[in-house]
Amino acid sequence: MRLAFVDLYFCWPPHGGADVDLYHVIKGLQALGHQVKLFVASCASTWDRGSVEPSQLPFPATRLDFSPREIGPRTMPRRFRDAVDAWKPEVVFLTDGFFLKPYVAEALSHYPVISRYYAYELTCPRDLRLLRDGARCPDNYLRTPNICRPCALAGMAADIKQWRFLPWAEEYVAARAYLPSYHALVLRTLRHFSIVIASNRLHKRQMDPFNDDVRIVPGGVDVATFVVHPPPKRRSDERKVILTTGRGEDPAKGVHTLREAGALLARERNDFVIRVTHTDYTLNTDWFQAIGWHDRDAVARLYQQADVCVVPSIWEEPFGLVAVEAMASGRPVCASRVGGLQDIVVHGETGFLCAPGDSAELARRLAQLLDDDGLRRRMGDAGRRRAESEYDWEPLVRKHYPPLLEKVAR
Amino acid sequence: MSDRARTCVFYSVGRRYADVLRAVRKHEPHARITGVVPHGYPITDDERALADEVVETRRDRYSLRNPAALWQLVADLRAAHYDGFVITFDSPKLRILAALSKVPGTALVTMDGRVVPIRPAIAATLAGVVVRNAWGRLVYAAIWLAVHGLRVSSTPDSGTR
Repeated sequence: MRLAFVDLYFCWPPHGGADVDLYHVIKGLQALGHQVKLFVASCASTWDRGSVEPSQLPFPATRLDFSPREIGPRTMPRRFRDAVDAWKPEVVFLTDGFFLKPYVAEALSHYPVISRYYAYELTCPRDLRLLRDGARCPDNYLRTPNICRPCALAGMAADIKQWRFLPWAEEYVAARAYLPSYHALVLRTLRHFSIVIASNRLHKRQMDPFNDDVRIVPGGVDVATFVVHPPPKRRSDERKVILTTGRGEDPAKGVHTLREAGALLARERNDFVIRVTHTDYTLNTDWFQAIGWHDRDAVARLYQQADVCVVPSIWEEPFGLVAVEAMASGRPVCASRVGGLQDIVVHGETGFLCAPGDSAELARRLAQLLDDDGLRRRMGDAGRRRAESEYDWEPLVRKHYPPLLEKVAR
Repeated sequence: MSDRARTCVFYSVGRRYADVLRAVRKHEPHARITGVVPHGYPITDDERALADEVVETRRDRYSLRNPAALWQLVADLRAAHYDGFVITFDSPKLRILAALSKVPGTALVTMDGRVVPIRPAIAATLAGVVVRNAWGRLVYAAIWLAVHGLRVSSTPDSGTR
């Protein structure tokens, strides 16, 4: 089949998990014999939008360059429609995008469209996190727009007042997503999609009432990049390493919970150090190290130096890529019992699941793992096996994507 | 003393510093690059390899609430006599710092990795801030009226929990 992939943010090298996901899905479908082509928006003033050189990708791609003025519902949908029409695909995959995505969806509605959502971009217009006052927000823009619209505006007020934008707020204004008519557009396009791909069960439940075919398709991991190295042999006076990767500065990632857990552990022992990919090194203590940002290859090396990995998120992680990477690297994972993490980490087998924000429970589990070399090894081995069987890209694409295409082709 | 031009690459939180240094190195392959980082910054091997030298500022962070410390930073930058000053974000604060440091050539590393010269005039920067803030507040007021004045009339839950 001829498959067009339309993405409003794709970057390579990747800027996030959505880029990695799309890259491997396109490659995987190409390997299965499909004709594929990626259409990606690019705007030089927006770092997260289309920072990519198509000739360096292993599949055909067209980059549509937009000036800042063209980032909006008048030009973008038309340019995408013209480019996609010229290629004549049988199916369109509509992937990453924020408030402008429904406009592009409408412009491509003469195709069967499979729409992929990577976070809660459709249900939480404030910041796609579905997080309020440190806990899961019970609202959902699809059902409660008159609650979510003022909340979204409050969240973006500072950006709008200073007229200095990150992509999220930039699209909110450009797409006029504050208007009631935008809500109608969102529902209309959501109902029209042939298939909607959600990240986890909560996400699926939110969208189920608005589309007959919402499916959960997990992300994957590159098991050739994230490989098992034996845990470092440490001298008796050498500290074990507890590692957290991901955007440490983001409060939703729960580094504060990990710091509290570290403080509890530090009262009783000094045989550990917590390393976090975080740029605020003023947080550093005797047992806590902010180690800055690292690219993907460097992160793979960080796992090799770690003894235990932690994903202390307090938001409903849509997927939980870092947990899968840690498991593929053969390390036990302590993760919060939230979102997609609950489906990735098998409690007691590949690691432990803890209540989000519960630093005491996290400290207990970390102590358990620090004290037991055999437990760490067993859980690490089980994690690697699970990563290979459930999250390796090649079998994952083979398992989940052909059924989508069969349904659309019927 | 070397004849190589001395370029200061001023660290800011929010971007991978190695990427910024790499862009400057590519743009100015013969320059002597000085990475100016906050006090206590844990420089990585990559970053160290990309800069010819790394200099720490006196403090780990600066704010307008402590003008004396800020002025000390400006004095230190002036005393270093750099030939170029590179910033990582096009922000009014960084533009004003660049202007005050009196380094002859100022450049910005754009988000897509290009190094473009800028003219960080203080008056123009401040005027730009005022205009943007005024426009932003106008737009915000219009959006606020739309959000609070126009309700979504038919919703699955009638708009409430």
